[in-house]
Amino acid sequence: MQKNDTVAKQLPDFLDQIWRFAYRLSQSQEAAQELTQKTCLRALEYQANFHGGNLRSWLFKIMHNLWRDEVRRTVRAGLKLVSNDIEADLSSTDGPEQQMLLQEVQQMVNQLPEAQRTVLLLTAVEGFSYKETAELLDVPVGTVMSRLARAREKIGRSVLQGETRTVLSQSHGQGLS
Amino acid sequence: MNKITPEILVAWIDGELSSQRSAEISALVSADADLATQVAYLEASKLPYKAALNQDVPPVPNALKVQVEQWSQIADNDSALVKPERKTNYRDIFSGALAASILLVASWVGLTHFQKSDASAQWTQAIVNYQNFYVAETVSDINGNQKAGVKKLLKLQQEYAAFPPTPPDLSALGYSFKRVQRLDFASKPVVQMVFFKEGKRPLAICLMPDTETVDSKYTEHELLNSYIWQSGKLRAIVVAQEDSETLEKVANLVGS
Repeated sequence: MQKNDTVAKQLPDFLDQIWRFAYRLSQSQEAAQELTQKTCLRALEYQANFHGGNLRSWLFKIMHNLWRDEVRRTVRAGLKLVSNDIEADLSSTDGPEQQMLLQEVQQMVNQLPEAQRTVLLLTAVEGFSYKETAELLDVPVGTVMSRLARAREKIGRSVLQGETRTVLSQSHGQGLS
Repeated sequence: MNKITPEILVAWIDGELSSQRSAEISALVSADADLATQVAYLEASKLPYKAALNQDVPPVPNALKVQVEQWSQIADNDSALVKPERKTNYRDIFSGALAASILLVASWVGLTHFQKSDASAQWTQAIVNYQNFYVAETVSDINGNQKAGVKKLLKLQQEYAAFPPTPPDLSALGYSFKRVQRLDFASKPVVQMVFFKEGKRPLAICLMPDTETVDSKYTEHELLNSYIWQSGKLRAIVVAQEDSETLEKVANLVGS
């Protein structure tokens, strides 16, 4: 059972990361809580299915499946999809321009179709490779690349055509972080 | 018309192409105004996504942290709670979760040392530990299908005739039926029937073939309470967030 114990032992160490992904997927604290709970329960119940390897990726996959199959329906049925606190709590120590830039980027990402947004979250934010993202989402690598390309083209178009506020148009050359 | 797809352009911009391929794309982009515009859009999309999307994520709620730590501890200390290894992929497992059978592997007990004298205590503990995992949210959105429950029970009756043909009606106690699952404990089949009442944790009744009579016993645990009794050829337990009186009522409704 040593192999299986590692999921239970390591799960608390991944809580911050899966919580952040849950929050970004659902854009709501309430839904993120439900999604995180369900993910942890599933992971512990099915820990025998984890045969070593990338536990983070395995947990994200569980979460994404739960989001796709169960939680998203609930959120769409009742909760609002975009929580007010997303815009309210900008307690960053960055200057106002930087904060505005980050806020604009966030808004653009949140406006993307879900499939494109998820790919962008997994690659640009979570740092998964195209291959890892494809495995996690159960889609071909080409689909990941095409979703990412469409997402970035949409965002770039929005930046250059001035659909966003000036601060972003002026500072778009900062690069991926 | 060029055959450069947006995917290739993204890979080119992100420097993921070979130098030879990269040079080819460079030449094509210089010669094609539409491609150059597309590239400009993609270049403009190089933004601080990580910083933007991490900036306002609230910290993990403390209650959630505590809950996950508790669950992990239980699962780590008590490998009695393990689902069977399955050959299917995760999508199948998750979409078919309700139908999945569950294995209560009593490895923490040590099956070779499984003594009748403390069997009921071990059975109680395994079931209570299992139920500790389930919060209201786990079952509240399950649309309790009585017909499916009956069908499952009838199937289980083929395995052991003493299993009941229908779930008990707990509506007088405010509980509605949610589901029937097939579990295993110490290589024996276990029927688990789950019920739900608003504001309470899920109530579970578990039945296992056992002709050895056990004394009825109410036990208070940390989160849930349990009541075990002998129901004919079955050992029975009810685990819920209820007092002894209510649990005994459940036992009476199941039958003794």
